Amino acid sequence: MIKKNIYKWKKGRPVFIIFGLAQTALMLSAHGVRIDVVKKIPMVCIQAVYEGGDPLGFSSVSIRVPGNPPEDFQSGWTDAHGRFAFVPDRAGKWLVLVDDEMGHRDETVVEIAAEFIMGEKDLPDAEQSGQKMSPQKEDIARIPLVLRIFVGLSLIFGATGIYYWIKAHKLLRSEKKRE
Amino acid sequence: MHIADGIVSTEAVLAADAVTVGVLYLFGRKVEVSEVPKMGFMAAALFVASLIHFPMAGTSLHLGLFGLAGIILGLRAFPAVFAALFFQALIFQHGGLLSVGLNTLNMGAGALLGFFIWKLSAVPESLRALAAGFLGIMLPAFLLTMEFQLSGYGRSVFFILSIYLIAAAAEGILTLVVVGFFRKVEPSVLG
Repeated sequence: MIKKNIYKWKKGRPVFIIFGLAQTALMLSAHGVRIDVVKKIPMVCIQAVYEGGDPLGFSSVSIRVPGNPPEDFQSGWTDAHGRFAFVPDRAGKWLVLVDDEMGHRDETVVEIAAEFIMGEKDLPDAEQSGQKMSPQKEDIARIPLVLRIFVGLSLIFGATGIYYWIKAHKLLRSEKKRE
Repeated sequence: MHIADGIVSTEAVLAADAVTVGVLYLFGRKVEVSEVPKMGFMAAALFVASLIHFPMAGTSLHLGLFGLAGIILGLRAFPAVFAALFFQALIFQHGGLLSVGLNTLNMGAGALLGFFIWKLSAVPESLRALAAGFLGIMLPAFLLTMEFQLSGYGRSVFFILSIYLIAAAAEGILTLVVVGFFRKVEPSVLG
């Protein structure tokens, strides 16, 4: 009886070996690569531009996951148009930092809702989504560029005028004293 | 050319701010009444000039006029550069508010170099104007790259300097044209 069973196993041995190898290949296959085009994935695309509107092309980007402290999620480079896309995997406030490595950098917070991750809700406009700058920056950004130039020049000429008046006043006083 | 906050260490930035206050006192004291309007106009010109941007090699460059400021104002160019940078940081976020001192040291050095070049009376005037404009940009660019290197930040020295080389050449020509204009119209403006 035992002899008969051993004979059966021996007869089926090649089949066992092939199945075993196939299983191992499935488990350890790391060299095969496949690229799929993922459609309709909830992703965030940012665009970084300079004050004049020129894009921050080929600038470094760092994405940080919401948390305390926030941890690095992704890093990379903007394209020629200053754009960068990432796929957030959880809800919260995501920190995006763009740096052209020439001294210009900016960061913003993109607020991601849980519905957006599930693909049930689209990303609202920047103003509604909570894509926030610092309060001071936000206030300043609202003022048109021409007005800001005008304000700057007014402040400089105003300061010059005050300084000029002080200097002239001092000069007049010293001249009066001499007389 | 404006360094934003958070790039160079806070200690270094604060040290640069302290040095800038000292240099401002040194070059800003005993200002004559007649110098004040010129300083104001030059500060306004510096303020507006750096808003004129042009894209280059994926970054954004702007006019500086530091060499010209040195030619017109001499040592008084340093307070004028500070005033322009302070209001730029305040209104346009060009460079951080904390980094104003460091930026003033960089760009003010360019203005002072422009002034010293302008004082080399043995050299022809056109050459002095060209060199003042050119080196008025290259010196701040060099200081900027050194600060980046020390902070372990930024692109390679060669890349940054090669980009500013083009901007400096344009600035040199512009300075030459402006000096030529003032020489014809109002020579007393030139220091």
